Amino acid sequence: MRGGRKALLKVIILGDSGVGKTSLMNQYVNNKFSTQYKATIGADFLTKEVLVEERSVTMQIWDTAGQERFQSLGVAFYRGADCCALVYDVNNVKSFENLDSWRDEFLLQANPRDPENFPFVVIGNKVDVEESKRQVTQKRAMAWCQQKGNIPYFETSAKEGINVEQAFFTIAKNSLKQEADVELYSDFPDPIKIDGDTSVAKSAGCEC
Amino acid sequence: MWTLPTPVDASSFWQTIKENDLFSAQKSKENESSTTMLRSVWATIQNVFDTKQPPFRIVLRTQGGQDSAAYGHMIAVAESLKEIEADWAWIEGTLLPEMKELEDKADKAAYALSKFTSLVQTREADSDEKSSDAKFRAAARSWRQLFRLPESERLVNFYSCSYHRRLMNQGWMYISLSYCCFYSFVLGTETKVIIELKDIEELTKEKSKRGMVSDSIKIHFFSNLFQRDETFELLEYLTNMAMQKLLKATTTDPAPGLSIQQQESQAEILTSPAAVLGFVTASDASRPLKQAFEIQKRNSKFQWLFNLPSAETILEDVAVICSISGTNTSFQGKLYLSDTFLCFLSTAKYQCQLALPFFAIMRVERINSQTSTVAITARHQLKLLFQFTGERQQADKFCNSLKDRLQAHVAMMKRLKPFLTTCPSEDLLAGRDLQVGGLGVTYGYVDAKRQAQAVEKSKLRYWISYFRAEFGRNLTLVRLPTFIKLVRIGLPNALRGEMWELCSGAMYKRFLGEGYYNKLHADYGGRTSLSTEEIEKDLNRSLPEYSGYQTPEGINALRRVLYAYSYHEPEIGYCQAMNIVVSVLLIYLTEEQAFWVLTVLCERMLPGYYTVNMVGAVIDNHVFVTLVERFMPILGDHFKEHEIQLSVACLPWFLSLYINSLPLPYALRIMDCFFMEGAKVLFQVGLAILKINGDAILKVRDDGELMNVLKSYFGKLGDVLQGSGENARPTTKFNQLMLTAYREFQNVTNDLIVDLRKTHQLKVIQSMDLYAKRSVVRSLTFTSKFTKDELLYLCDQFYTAQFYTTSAGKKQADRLDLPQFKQLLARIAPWASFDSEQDDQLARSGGEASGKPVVGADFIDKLFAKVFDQNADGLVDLQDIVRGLGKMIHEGAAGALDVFMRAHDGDGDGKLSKEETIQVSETLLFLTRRLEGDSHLGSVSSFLNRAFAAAAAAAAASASEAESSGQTTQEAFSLSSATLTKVILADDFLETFFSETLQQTFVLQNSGTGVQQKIFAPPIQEISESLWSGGLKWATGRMAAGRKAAGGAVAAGSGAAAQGDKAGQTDGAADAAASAAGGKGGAKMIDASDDDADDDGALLLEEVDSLLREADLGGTESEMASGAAEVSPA
Ligand SMILES: Nc1nc2c(ncn2[C@@H]2O[C@H](COP(=O)(O)OP(=O)(O)OP(=O)(O)O)[C@@H](O)[C@H]2O)c(=O)[nH]1
Ligand SMILES: [Mg+2]
Repeated sequence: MRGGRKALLKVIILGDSGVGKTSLMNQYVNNKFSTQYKATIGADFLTKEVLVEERSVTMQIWDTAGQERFQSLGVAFYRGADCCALVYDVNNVKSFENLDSWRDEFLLQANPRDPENFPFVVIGNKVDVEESKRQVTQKRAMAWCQQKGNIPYFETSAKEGINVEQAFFTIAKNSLKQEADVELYSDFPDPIKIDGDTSVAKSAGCEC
Repeated sequence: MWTLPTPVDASSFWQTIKENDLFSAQKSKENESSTTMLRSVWATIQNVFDTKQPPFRIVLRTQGGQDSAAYGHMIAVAESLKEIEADWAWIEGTLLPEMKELEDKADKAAYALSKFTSLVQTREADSDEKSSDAKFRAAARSWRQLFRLPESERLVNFYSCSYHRRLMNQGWMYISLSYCCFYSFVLGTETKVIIELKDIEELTKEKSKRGMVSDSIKIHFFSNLFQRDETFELLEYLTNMAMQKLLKATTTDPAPGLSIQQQESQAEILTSPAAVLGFVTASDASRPLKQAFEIQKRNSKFQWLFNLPSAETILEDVAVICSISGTNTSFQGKLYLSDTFLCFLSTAKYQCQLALPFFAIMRVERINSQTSTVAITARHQLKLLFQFTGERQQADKFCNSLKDRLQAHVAMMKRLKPFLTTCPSEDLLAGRDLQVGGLGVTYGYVDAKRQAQAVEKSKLRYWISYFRAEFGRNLTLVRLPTFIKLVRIGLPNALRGEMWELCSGAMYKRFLGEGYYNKLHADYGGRTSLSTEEIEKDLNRSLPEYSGYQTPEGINALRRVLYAYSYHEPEIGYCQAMNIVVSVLLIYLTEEQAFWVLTVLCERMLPGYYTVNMVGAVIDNHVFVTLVERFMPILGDHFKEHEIQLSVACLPWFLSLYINSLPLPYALRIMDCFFMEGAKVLFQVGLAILKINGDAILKVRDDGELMNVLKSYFGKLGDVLQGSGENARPTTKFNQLMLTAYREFQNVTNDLIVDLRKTHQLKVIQSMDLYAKRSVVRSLTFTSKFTKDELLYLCDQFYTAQFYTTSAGKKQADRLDLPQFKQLLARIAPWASFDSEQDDQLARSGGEASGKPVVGADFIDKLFAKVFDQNADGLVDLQDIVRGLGKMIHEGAAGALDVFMRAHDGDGDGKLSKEETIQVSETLLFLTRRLEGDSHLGSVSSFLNRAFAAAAAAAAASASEAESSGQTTQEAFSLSSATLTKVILADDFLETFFSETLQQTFVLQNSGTGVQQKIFAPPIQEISESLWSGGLKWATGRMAAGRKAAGGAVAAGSGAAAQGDKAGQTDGAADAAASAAGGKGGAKMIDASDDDADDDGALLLEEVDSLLREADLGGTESEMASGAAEVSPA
């Protein structure tokens, strides 16, 4: 039943401060780049209507603060996310190394039904910067994505608008897929918030 | 134990046991009280009055002094005869010979007195027993004896109260730096409660003097707290301190504002809990902590009231009537004198407030007519009259102090003139252009309205007339109601910076801290740290739309202020949102001014907001949610129903003072009020925003929709609303917002905010602590077979061990050294705890624990060195602990034996020497020392036999092998791992021990409740029971014997006495019980009177029955019946 699906997709963008999350979101939603964005305090979001597989859906894109200490403010809005974009700056190796903990943190807080198969997308941003500044190779990034369960990987530039559309399209498509999967066992109540326990998802998975 | 000489009177409760000219050793007669029950009543009384005295003492006879009631000075006390004899021996052997030269007895006494005083003072250099308050000293002593907490622990205060545990137990609550303890001894039942402050999750005051403390395990109720509010406040304060410290411990990263070099060179800052409290300085040692705590509380309230730097303390305060020349009104209020300021606050709210620094005072005159008055002339033609309303003496004292303070500040006066050139109000009055200021002077200001210039001009006119009215300005400004109004309508751009600086108190800090800002740059400039990196990322993302920040000048100013703060407070370093706030400050203020305002923001106005865990912001978010629920319950319910987290929308409001959410001109207006009135303004505005948009908000179903509603509202703040009433003027949505904030939420006061913050603090910190521990546990790479909860528990105990002990050497945030490891082990395995051994020793010797090590106790040292500390650096981390314990617990007998082998194999050759094998047996004894019975003793000795036999056999075998191969071997004892295993598994007891018992000794969950009840004299119910079972015979016998002797006067022993002398009967019952419990002694007596017992058994059964009923001592009917059933066959 198509009508049963919710027409709203919730996407969370995570990554270190300054990797370009806000710029990516604005490039995608408003098709423009500006040097006038402020550092994100807490969280903010924009929405965009997209057409995926002939269906029009609203994407609610949540942009978050990157500084580590903001994690302790609680990240209530992670709940109910359909997809999570992990962003790093290809010219900053630390932002890449932190992807692990961003992913863990997300899974812990969002507590999705099926953490093993939750749709992530990894974005290496700022590829427009001169090659000599680059610190993380495509190969290294792809190896990481492979190891974490074949996460789709994109290299983008929010500044030049390179690959941004494609990255977000994949985000939308995969969220939708997740939606469809979830529907199969939507009769099950939400798992009680304890920790990243997979038991609910597994028992549900057996049904199909 | 020597005590500080304390006057005592000759009391008939003491019996002298030894005596010479000067001293007498005495024994309390209390111990002689013939019956257990009476003793226990005694103890109860002592407990209730906290007069518990050790049973032995030595008195220095000094009678004949001025105080005739005093009979002498108590100079020593002891729990046992042995101990008092030792003290006595010292007096006879050392002290008396020393005093041989002194002829006069009085001289001798004086010498002895000073001798003991100095003895005690050196010993108790910084412990509470030195306190001048005798009662406190006594309490501190009993607290130490009762609870045996670490040496460094210090008692803060003690309160009479009762603890609820089925019954009410009246006793004492002892509050120390890290514990809340309770002790009662009521009718033979001792109740001890130890609550670790850091475990407390909630403190609640209930009606009727009841209070509740709940920690992670259970809820404790205390009542009859006569000083409940004080107790509560103290507990709250200390608990919060303990939590903060704990939270710091789990945050293992170095301070973000420290450069790499600094991090490395930084010495250990681990501090004792006392030092963490800040107010406990060395000089306070003689003063009870509680007093220090109260003084601090009073001072911080004072600083907060007048926005003064945290060094200011109240020196004097008096009631006065204040009049200001230029007004006709006078104000009743209080005048305070602190280190640098003369402050006045009117009793009526908002009427008059003033903080006048001494260096701005030009003249002080005492006018002595009928009333005592001082006239003060300050800079800026400010003339004030203070008429003292209290006693003359007080006024004199105050004026003398004032004179002293003024003299001390003469030198500072010459700094005033240059300082005033940095105040725009001076330029305004002189009609000059602004001399110094923020970026706004060059790059302009942001205004909402088109007629901005006209508005600015008319506002300035108001201000100038306020200054001209001789109400002072900048450093001397008096805050009258007009001032408050002028701020609330929005500050003019030219004065905005100055008023922010003044209202927040930053101006005083700048004056007093002259040169500090530049020195920070001189000392630290050029260093890089995590914080400076983060700052660099954000410089261009602070207020990019403002033209000043599109130039290097603006960016550099921003950089320098943020850098300076990260040098100033490396623990905070830099937090996003600070950049946004500072970028706005810098439009109106110079770098140095902005820096000082930032310090006030971080320290006082928004405490804890920008710290590494942002705990202050989280707490305020909880406070905000509580306020929403309280003032707008319908909205509150709506948020709950849809699980909407207000924090998503509201946290940025608070963190960036609304700058990020509202158009800047409106945010500035809120900042004006915020700096003048404090954090409550942020809450009032937030509540008003929700209230005004209430209808729309009731329709939203998730966080996103809520944010949309709010965003669109913020976009329309400049819209004009047509007033609905008759003479209502049109007003902007923003004005409506501010009016709503002040009118509808006037009950949201700073006091309320402070109270709510305290209420939420504990929960927030506890949950953050849990969060931090979760991530520590998640980062473990090897978790053996422990469950998540067990790991969390281990992690908790790990940090607890660290919390209570301070290790020497460099700070090792996530590691334990040996003493800490021992603590940890003692917390999770009973055999590693020596508390009860100490108790036993104490019971035996009656004195201090001898400290003799328990045989085999060095097993723990071996475990640490050989098993847990894998890299042999003297430290273990949580991973080491998990690995080691996993081996001991989850790998069966093989794992446990391997641990054993490794621990004892000193040279690591895989074989145990003779010596080491003996040590193994000692360890076995050590581990099993708490077991019941003595079957394990046999097993251990048979282990030794077998081990030696096996070793001998092995030696023989290898010897014969060597012989046959023609080599010679030394006859060496060696036990291989395989042999050890074989030998151990051959014994049934040891086999079970290594495969089950040892593993089961570990307790990896919270089991203790912190409550211990010990029954010394058996409680009443048991008394009756034992009376029935064993005691009856004896009682019967005694009574029968008595009857024979008295010639049939049975009634005296039983029936009649039931009505007459209940106490006597109680004694009898207790005696019976005591002898029944006492075992052999009692049994003998029973034997002796056995014959008679049979004769009158039936009759007495009835008598005793009625006795028990009369005395209301009996258990239930059924107990009686079953007791009777047992007895009747006899
Ligand atoms: N050259 C280049 N610069 C970029 C790109 N994307 C963003 N930036 C710049 O990187 C800086 C940080 O970008 P933001 O989008 O604000 O970063 P963020 O991830 O949102 O940071 P936080 O809000 O602090 O978590 C800004 O100065 C951007 O102009 C890009 O694709 N190429
Ligand atoms: Mg951002």
